[in-house]
Amino acid sequence: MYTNLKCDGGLEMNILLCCAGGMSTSLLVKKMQEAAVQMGIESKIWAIGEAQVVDNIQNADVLLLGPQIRFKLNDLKKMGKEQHIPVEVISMIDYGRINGKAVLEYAMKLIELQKES
Amino acid sequence: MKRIDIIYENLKAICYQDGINANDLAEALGLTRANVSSDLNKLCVEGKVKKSNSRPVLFTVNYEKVQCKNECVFDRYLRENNSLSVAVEYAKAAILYPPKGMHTLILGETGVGKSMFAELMYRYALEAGKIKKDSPFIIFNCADYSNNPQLLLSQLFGVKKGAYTGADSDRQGLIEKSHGGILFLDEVHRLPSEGQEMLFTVMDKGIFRRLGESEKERTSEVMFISATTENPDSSLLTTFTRRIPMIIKIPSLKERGFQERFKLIRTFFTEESHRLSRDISVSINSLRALFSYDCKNNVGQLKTDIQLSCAKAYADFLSNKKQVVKINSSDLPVYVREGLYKEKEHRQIWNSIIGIDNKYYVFNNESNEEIFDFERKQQSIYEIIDEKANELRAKGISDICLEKTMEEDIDRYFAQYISRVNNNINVSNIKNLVDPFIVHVVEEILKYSELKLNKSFSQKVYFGLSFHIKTLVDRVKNNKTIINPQIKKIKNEYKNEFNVALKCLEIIESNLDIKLPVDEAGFIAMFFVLDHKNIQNTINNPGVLVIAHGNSTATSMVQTANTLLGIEYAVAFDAPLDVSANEILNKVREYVRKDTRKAGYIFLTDMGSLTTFGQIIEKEFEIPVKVISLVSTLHVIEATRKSSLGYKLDDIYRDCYDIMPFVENETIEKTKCKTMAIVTICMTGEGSAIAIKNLLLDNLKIDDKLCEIIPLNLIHKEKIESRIITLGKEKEIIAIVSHFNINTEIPQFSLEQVIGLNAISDIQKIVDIQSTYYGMGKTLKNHLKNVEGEKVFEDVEQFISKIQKSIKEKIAVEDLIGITLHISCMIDRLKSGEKFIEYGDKNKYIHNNKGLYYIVKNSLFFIEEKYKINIMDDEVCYIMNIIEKRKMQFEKLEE
Repeated sequence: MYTNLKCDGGLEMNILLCCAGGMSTSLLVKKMQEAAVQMGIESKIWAIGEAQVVDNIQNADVLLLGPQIRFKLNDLKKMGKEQHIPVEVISMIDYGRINGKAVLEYAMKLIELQKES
Repeated sequence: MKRIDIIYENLKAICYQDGINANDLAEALGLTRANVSSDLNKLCVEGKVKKSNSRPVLFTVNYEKVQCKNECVFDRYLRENNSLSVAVEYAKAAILYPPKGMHTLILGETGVGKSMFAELMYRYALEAGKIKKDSPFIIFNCADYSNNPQLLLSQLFGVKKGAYTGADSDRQGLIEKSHGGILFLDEVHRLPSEGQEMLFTVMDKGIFRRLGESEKERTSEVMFISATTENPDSSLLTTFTRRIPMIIKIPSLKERGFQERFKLIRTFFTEESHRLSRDISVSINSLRALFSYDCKNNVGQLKTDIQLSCAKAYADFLSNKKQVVKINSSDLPVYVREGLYKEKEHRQIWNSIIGIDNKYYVFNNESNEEIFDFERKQQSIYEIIDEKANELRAKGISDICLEKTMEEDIDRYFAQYISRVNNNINVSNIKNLVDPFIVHVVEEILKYSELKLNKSFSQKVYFGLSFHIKTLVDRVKNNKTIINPQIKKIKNEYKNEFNVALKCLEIIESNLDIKLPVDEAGFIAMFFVLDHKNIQNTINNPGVLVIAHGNSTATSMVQTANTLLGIEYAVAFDAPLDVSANEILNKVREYVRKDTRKAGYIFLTDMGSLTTFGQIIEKEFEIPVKVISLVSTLHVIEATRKSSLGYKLDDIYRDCYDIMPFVENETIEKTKCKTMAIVTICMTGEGSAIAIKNLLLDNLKIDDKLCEIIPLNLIHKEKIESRIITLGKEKEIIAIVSHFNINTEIPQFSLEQVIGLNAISDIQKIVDIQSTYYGMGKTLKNHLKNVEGEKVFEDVEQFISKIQKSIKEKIAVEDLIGITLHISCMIDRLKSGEKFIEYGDKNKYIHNNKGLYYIVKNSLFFIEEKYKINIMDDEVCYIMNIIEKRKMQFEKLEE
């Protein structure tokens, strides 16, 4: 469910998406991967169901949730804190429009903010 | 050497003790498995090869058959076609009749297999050495040229050059070509009268002339087999019947009885399975339909209908609509499906043969297991015991424990055995299934036992015991042991019955000349014991309640269904117009309260408030209820039949629903026209409301086709709320700007917030989210592979509106986006045949959230139907989860 993309100078970014069952976000993953290629960003983006977060979070730089499992945010934020990675909910609008580029940019922003802090 | 011969020779050469499976043989010979398997099965049919009952199937050369070659083509044919034994005797006689056989006329309806029979006669003649190895067998259908008698005759008798215009050369006719062999004339009554005389001359004297020939008499030694569908008494045929010495009548499908129809159906499916090299699963309902429908064109039609259904199933399989080659009754042509409703008279027989637990029967392309073998189909008590005992012994469990664990199984077996047999059993049916001699013995034992035990037994015991003893006899004959692990208990608890049963054993032994172990008395005693125990077998089946307006509408439908099916099952609740719905509801309540079943109910109602009873009962009694509205007698029959057979509630509902696929069973609120509105309310007259509207228009980015700003004039506070509700029916009101609080869940902003432009970004966000949701149909269109995005979007909308109605809450647009995407992707994914994703601990979750489970499951039903997908409980759980937890987010996020 992920691709490794090579490009000059960019850092590899590991973006983990999570939703109920992991299937609806996989559409978004594809779009994000396309956007990443266009933007020349080396990235690994993959989607999982909420149950698999535990096994995947250590490989991620950021964890984004589908809006339908917003209720998990606090639990997962705690988990993110332990791993020192940001955890947020994907914007409803970007999600509903399956706007891969916007979500990718959001993820990049979150990673950057995390580094600064 | 042909492939099949190579395979046979190799099988002989290999000569493994236990045989070899098709796979290994294929590998050894470098052939494909499918070919080898198909040839091996052909060899099995010919009797040259035997196969094991184990899996994988092992093949060995059948040496018995190699040595005794006297089994002829007809003997094999008779195995599947018992009732044709008379016809076969005649046919053999006709072929063997010296010196060159006897001309034969075959009579029979369309499709009974006349042509095939003629060909068998030819093959028999070859086998019997009556004709030479390469003698011709020529088939001619007299109907082919019936509008051109000249051409027809020239085909048969040949032509001399110049006999008529166009006859430009001398030509041999079929009669000459058939010299030394057999000529088969189908539809012989279509032969013109001038041809008839010529034909009789050839038959009698073996001489004829080509058309246009006068001088030369030709001779040809031909055996004629003719066939016709005409009634033998018709004038057309009298000439034929007088001149042709041997007349063979092939019985119609109806005349051949149902056992043979079973065999034929099985044979045809097995053939198709060989052809496709795949297993074919056939639903029991489909088998029932095929078994009972009015098959006017006999075996031929039966075969075609089966082939067509297999072809259709195979097509569905190839196009990935189905995972296996599977035939459901809905795949059958309508006229075949009608058979389901005709099968009343065979109901009991079916139940005892197939059992109600199997939903599908798999026709296997390797094994020739005889499924309609009556004694083997239903697992007999002996087999249950053997199986269980071996299993338990393998685990090292002692005989004492064995006895205990078996107890339940044995009880269940007898309860099933007896309850399955209906009270109204027709005695003549038993005699079709069980050797009349055994039935006679059973009568005798029952007479004796009734006297000794001083009670009378029901027909159920009669029927059950007949079957039981038939199995028993077969078992003893096959030297199989009979053990009753419960014998001690039975001996102690039912002393009288046991002693009587011992005596019955003697009666059976002396009458049938077999030796029976004492254990058997234990089984027989159980029949006597259980008869008068009230066996509430149907308590585990869903109940059928028919509730309809009118003084006797429900009653009459229920009566029809119950009478047709020969059971008392469905229950009627009439709702006369002068009785309030509440009173009726109370009656239903009372009934459900007394009735202790757990399997749920199916409510068949006509209209109006009666359709809501289901939900009420479901909630009050915490028992699943499914409602079908616009009930018809057909619905009642279907529901009653399936419920009484123990089908699950969901399946019954689905099948009833299928009866009228175009009628939506619930009135669905028409989905709103997709526009939204922001309402501005002003107390000081319309003027300021309009000012606010303009302010919003200037500061918001709004697509004015999608979003309207509606100023409302406040006259009275209560009225404004009802006006908003009315307006909300036409448009989605996404925000309200008002300077006092209005009782609604719609987000509100104060005038100050708007004028100070503080609320603008919030309102903008709401607008954007709503437009995103409206645009999802288009978005999905670009992303879903297997379904159309916009249609799916509409269906999900409908699903959501059902949910909202059931939970009596509105789901916020924020959640709609997630839910919509989730469900659309789910449909797309299931449609592609991908595996569902497991939901951990779903049973517990469902158990704790039963109400929501039924709501979601029911609301998803139309989607399953429409997209022909099966939404597993795991998927339902995910959806439940999203719906249930959607509210938590606000609380948590605001922390």
